Amino acid sequence: MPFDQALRFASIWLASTSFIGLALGAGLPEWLAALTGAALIVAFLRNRGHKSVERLARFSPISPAGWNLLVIVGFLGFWVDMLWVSGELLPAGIHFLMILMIIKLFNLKLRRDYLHLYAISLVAILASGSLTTDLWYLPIFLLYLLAGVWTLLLFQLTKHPEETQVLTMSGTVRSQASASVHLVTPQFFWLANGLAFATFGLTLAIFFTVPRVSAGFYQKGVGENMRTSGFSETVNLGEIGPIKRDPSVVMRVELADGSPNKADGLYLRGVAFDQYDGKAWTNRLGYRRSVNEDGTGAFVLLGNRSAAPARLGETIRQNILLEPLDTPVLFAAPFIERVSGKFPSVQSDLTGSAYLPFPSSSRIEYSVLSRSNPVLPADLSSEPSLYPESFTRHFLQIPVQSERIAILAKEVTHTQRATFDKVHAIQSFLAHNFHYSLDAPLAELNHPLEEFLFSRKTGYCEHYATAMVMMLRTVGIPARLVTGFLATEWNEYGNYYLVRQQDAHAWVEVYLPHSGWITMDPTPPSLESVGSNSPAWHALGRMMDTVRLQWSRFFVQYSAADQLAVVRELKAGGTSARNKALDSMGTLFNPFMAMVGGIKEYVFNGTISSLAEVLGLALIGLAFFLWLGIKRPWAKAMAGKKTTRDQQPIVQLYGRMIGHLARKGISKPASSPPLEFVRLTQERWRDAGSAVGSITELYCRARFGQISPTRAELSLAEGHLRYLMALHKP
Amino acid sequence: MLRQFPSLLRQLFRHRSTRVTSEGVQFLLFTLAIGIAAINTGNNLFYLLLAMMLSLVLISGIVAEHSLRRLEFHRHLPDHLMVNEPTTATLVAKNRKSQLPSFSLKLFDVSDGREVDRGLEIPQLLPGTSRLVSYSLVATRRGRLQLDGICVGTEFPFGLFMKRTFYQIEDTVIVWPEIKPIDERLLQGLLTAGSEQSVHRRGHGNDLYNLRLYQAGDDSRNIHWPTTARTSQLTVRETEAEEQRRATVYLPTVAPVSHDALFEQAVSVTASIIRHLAHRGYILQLVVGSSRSSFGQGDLHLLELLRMLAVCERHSPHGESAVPGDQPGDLFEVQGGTMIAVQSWRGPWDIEPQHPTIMVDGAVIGGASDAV
Amino acid sequence: MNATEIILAIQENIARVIKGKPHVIEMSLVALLARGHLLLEDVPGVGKTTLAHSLARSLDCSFKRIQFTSDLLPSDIVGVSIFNRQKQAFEFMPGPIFANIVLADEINRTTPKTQSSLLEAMSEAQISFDNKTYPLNQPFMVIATQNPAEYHGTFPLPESQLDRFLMRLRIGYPSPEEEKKVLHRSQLLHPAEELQPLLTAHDVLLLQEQVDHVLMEESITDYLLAIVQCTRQSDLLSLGVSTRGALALSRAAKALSLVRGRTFCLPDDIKELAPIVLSHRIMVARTQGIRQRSFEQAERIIQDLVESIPVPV
Repeated sequence: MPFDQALRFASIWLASTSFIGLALGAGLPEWLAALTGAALIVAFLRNRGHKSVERLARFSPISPAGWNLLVIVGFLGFWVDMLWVSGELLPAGIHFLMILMIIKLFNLKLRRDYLHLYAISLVAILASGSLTTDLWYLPIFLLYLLAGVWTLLLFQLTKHPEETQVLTMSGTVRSQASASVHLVTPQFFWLANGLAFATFGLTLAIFFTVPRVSAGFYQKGVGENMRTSGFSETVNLGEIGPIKRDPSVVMRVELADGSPNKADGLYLRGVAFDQYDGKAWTNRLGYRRSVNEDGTGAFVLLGNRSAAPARLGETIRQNILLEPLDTPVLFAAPFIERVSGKFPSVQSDLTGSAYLPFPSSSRIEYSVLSRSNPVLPADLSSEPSLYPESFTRHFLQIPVQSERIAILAKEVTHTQRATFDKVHAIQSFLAHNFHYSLDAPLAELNHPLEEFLFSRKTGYCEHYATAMVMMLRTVGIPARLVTGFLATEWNEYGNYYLVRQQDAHAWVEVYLPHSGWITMDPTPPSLESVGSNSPAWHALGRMMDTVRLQWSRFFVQYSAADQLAVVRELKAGGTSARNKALDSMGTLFNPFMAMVGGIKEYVFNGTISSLAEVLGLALIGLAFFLWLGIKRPWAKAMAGKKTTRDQQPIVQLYGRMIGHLARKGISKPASSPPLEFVRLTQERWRDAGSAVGSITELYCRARFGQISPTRAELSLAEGHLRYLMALHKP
Repeated sequence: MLRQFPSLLRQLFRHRSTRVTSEGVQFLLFTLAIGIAAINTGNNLFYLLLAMMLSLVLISGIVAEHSLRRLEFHRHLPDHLMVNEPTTATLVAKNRKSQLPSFSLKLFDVSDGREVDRGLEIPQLLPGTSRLVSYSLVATRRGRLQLDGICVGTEFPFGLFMKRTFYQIEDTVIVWPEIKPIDERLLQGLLTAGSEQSVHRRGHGNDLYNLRLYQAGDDSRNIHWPTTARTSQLTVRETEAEEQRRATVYLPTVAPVSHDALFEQAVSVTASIIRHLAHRGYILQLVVGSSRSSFGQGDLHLLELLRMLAVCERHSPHGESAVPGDQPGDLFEVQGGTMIAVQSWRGPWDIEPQHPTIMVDGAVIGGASDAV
Repeated sequence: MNATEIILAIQENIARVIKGKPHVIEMSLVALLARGHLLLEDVPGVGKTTLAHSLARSLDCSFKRIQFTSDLLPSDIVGVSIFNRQKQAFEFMPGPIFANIVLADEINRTTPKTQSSLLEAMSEAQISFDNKTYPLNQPFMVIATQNPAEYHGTFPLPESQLDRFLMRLRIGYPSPEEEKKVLHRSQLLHPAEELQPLLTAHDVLLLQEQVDHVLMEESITDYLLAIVQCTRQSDLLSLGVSTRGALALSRAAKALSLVRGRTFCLPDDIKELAPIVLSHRIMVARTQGIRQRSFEQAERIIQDLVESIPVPV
């Protein structure tokens, strides 16, 4: 492909990349997106030299002046757009940018036009960057970088011929000779891609080292917060149900102690509710007060109302990356002791839930130290006891019409004496006698709980939990409803729990006199799997999510604090810093390493799935391209055409010798014939002279004299080459 | 070691210079804008774009440096140039790198510390190959033309910067004065002059020079039959060569500053006369100011004379009465031959003549004014 | 003795007379074996004549010398018809050109007419005289010399006629040590007279035959043609190498291969021979200065051009 055509192609590619970036990020109006896309396709087809398109373009009714007029109209449209239609500068500007791009695409004639197109595409990719933080920006950015390098390179290389052709029209011979230079050769292809790769590497280095002046936390919110339900002051029964099918990611939870020890998932507690009016839960203890910050920047929640003085419970350390939600609740495993993160303040209420002062509009990261309350032996046999009035008011409250429930509860528990046994009896009753189903339109009914318990006998977590709380309360055991998420999806590539909207859950906390609040879940494990895809796709999804997380952590969220941390660790000293650096590099590449490991696992397990196939194909393709780039088999094929099979070994041997000498600093100039090169070698490396001479002699005889070397001669030559390889150059 | 270090640095960086192209300026402005935006918003994606643009800048520097390294140049010039006559000079550029090609090399001639753009471009120079480029060289002044070296620049890879480096290859060429066709009347004057002083020599001609015995290889047509018959021995006649003439060309170098252009004209006329006479087989001597050549003949001698003319310089008159052209006169009489003097300044009373005066044996030749 | 040994022996033989010039001796043998003629261009007294003489002596061939002067006539070279009184008929008296090796000394001193008669004989290997053709002796080789220092009264050979010579060589001054040896031997007889002939004329013809069988691989032919093509396209030259020039280079390369004891050509041969075989077949562009030193200049241009052409691997 000649350079100028390649340049046009690369330019259109550059423009399309930035357009795609903008279209993904900004939500362009359909007509504008379609128009720009059409313009890009037309420009591409024109470049390919489609005659019909060319003819069409030639008959375009618009003169240069007309195009200029269009630009002016577009500019006026921009003002109209900004003042009345969109009402904002950014979208209006983007629309105007796209219109400019369309006009330029139809007007690519002079080099100046190309420059304008590049400027437009740069602004577009910039605008796209300001509108998004999603992972798709990474491939777009990479494509843009590749296209940019190609375009700049070609733009530079085509620059001079145009100028000089105007100056010297004399030499037709010379222009013919130079025409072959202006082609995209394989070497050029690899050169350009290598440059792009080097640029990318350097980009990463610069990106991580450029000092961040502004703290990147409270940046302007992007997009809208995710709507969640079940975490406000009041929750209607049945509210969680509809979101149980939503697979969007809410948060990611890393466990400080590595992999999870429980197979049944991790409860992430959100809000607790104490009052039920027959249809909705309310939190009457929702009064929030600020939590004090201790010296180390962590917020310590004092409201640990556990009766057990000894800190016996299991502690869980979690790092939580929370997506922007419409609730200020900070989720964590029960029960929160310390929260640390980049917050100005943290609030908590009496039920032990933690809140931010207001919902965050961007992704936040915080770490929590939680401690669960174990069931103490003293509680295993204790009778129901009396509780203070304030306590009973909140946690023994029952709505008015619940006699049937009370009777049912008595029936279930009359055989048991101890409180703990009663609790267990109710839990197993619920777990075994009811069906879990998301298709339970109980919310519309007047008495959803009775409906669930006595007629339908199907429901989901909310119903189970509500029923259990009510039954416990009717038999005099304090309990409350808790909403949150039940994390079950463990991402083995990134070592974290992936929590989605569909993991929203409700469960029960029961108060035992000695142990305090303990977590109970009456809901049986769901048999409905939401996504019925193959495990390979799941694995791929988890991998993608890990990449997304790393992207977010290392690119979007990268901040001055991270830089400071790196600097601090470097200061801390020698080997540890190096290890840390290696570690952080490791985490960056972990998903890929894990991916490789994963493939191996799949292969060994015999489940050679589509994932392995896809990845395998990709790897093979990559390896093939690498091999192509390094070995250049076409060159060999060309050389091979001129030599017969017998001469091939010695010709290859000679090639290896030339390569070895080049590595030793004696490279063969293209214009020096074999014997001259032997003399050159002898001058510069006396010891090698004889070996080089004898190999060259054999080569010359085979290559130019058509005298095939004998086996003995060949082995002798190989010996010479080995000797040469072993020889140390002074 | 420490003392060597700065000189080493200077060695490395002395001949490097970088200029930002217009595209580069736009690029840098964009980079600045994105940098400001990034700092302002703290958006990491802006930082990413900024890092990309900065790394493009860095990569251009590194790649351009590699492109310019380990090149080798040598230049071939003709032995002589003539003022205003285009000649072809050639440059051989060689890439001595073993792996990396060089791209988009732009070559500038450095002459007297100034870079001259000859429009030389080498789009691609593969490793280990060499390339021959030629350009036309026109000297505008006679004398020594000093060429210092080659300045190589490249905008590769991204056309944002023009990086240059200097390779020293010194060359000196003698530039002759311009040689122009000589006017008819002047030609007549020159032809009539000097015929009396013919030197007797064997050669082609009609006049008898000698008679001698026939030797093998002699032209049988030259056998002088009367003598042969008389002496009954084959005798041949030898003839006297024609056109064996001597001339001395004199160019006084004393002229005031105001006659500078005229002096150059005089040098050019002198060169034209010399070449004309040399081609007609004259034995020539040239006197330029106080320096004097020997009498001689042949192309080598002509070159010598032209070289003298190429490097001669004008001197301002010292005394008021210094009238050029008088003092060497006697000497010529001794040597014999025609004396041709080309005067640009005939004395203090000579005010701005249009053309140099040409005198043959002391007589001004008419029509000399049209010679130039 | 096989071809290589004979050739080596001849080289050594001549080297006893011409000191320190193995390259020139080798090239003169190449010219002989390639059925070409040699033009020696150098100042007088460096052994041009001696070279020709000793070459002839070691070959057991007839040797004639023609001193070219301005009044030399074609008949002085070719021969004359003389009236024979006994037979009452004209009889052709062959001139000095009827020898195996002819030394044409100072060829540029004679008139173009005489020059062309010699050159015609060189290219056609026969003489036409009085409507009769007389074949020349075989092998036939002309070694012409010309002196570049003197120009007055000379008739430089035109390019078209220079083309008839296979190669143009300079001998150059010997090194001081070699010159000393020459001085020591100068008391003796003319050294070339001492040489013993090693080959007969017939052997030379056989060797010439052998040159034709030297293999030139296709890529080397391509390389040769690339060089020729390059001279035609260069703007330093106003006239590139003709097809005859390409043929000459190919023949010379084959002969050199044989001289060096090979049965096939190498790119090295082409590269080495290109300046001496091609430099007199080109015309340096007028913009390259006057003709005066065009020999060196042409050689240098050819060298540069060759240096820019990649060698087949």
